Amino acid sequence: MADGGPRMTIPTQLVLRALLEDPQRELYGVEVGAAAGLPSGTVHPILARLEGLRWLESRWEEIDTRAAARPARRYYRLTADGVQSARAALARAYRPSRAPRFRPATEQP
Amino acid sequence: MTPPTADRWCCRTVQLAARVLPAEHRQRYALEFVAELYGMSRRQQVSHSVQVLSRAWALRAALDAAALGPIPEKARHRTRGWLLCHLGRHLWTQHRNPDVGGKDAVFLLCLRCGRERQGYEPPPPGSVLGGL
Repeated sequence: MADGGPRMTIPTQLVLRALLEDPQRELYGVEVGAAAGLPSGTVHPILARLEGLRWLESRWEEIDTRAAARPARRYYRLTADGVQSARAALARAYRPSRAPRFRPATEQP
Repeated sequence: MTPPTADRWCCRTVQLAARVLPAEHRQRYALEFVAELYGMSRRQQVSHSVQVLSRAWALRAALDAAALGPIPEKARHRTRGWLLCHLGRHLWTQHRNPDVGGKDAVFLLCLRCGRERQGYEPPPPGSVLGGL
C-alpha cells in the first residue's frame, strides 16, 4: 500500500470497485451502498476517508427542490487521480503481504 | 408505495447522527442524510437512519483523520504494533547476550516495543519447536 492510502478493508474495496465500474458516473450515498452491496448508511465513513484523500469529489445536486419535492442530494465521483490510485490500491490488495509461514509437504508418488 | 417525504422520526435520527460530527461538517451531513431518506419506503428509512446513527462515530473518526492528513504507512504499522503489544500480543524474537554464557544467554525480545520477556526458559538443545 502506498503511503497515505486508505486501509484497504473489504468494504473499502467494495466501494472502490463500485465507483470504478463507471468512474464518470456520479452516485449519492445510498446508490454507492447499493452498488457496493453494503448496507445503506454504512458507506459514509468510507466516502469521507476517500474524499479526504482527494480520491473522491462531491457536489450538491443542482435541482429545483420545489419541483422535485425533495432536497438536493450529495453526489460523489472519483477524481482522475482517484481512479488511478484506486486501481493501483485494488491491484495491491490482491497481493498477499507475507509469504506463507507453513507449507504442508506434498506427497510424492 | 414510496412516501413523498421523509419520516419525521428518521429525519431526527439522522440529524442526531450529524450532531456527533465536527462542527464544520455538521450541516452538510445533516442535509445529506435527510436528502437520502427521500425515495425510500418507511421501512428502508428506519433501517437507513439507524445505520447512519450507528456509524456516526466512525464517520467522525474519518473526518478527523482527513483533517489531520494522510497517515504514513510506517506510522500506521507502529500504531497497530503498539496496540498489539498493549494487548499482550508481542512479536517475540530470540536473541543471545554474548556477555552471558550458557542457557542464560538466550532471551526473548519484542521486535515492536523492545520489551524483554521475563522468565523465559530456552528449549533444551536438540528439540525442535518445543518438541513438535
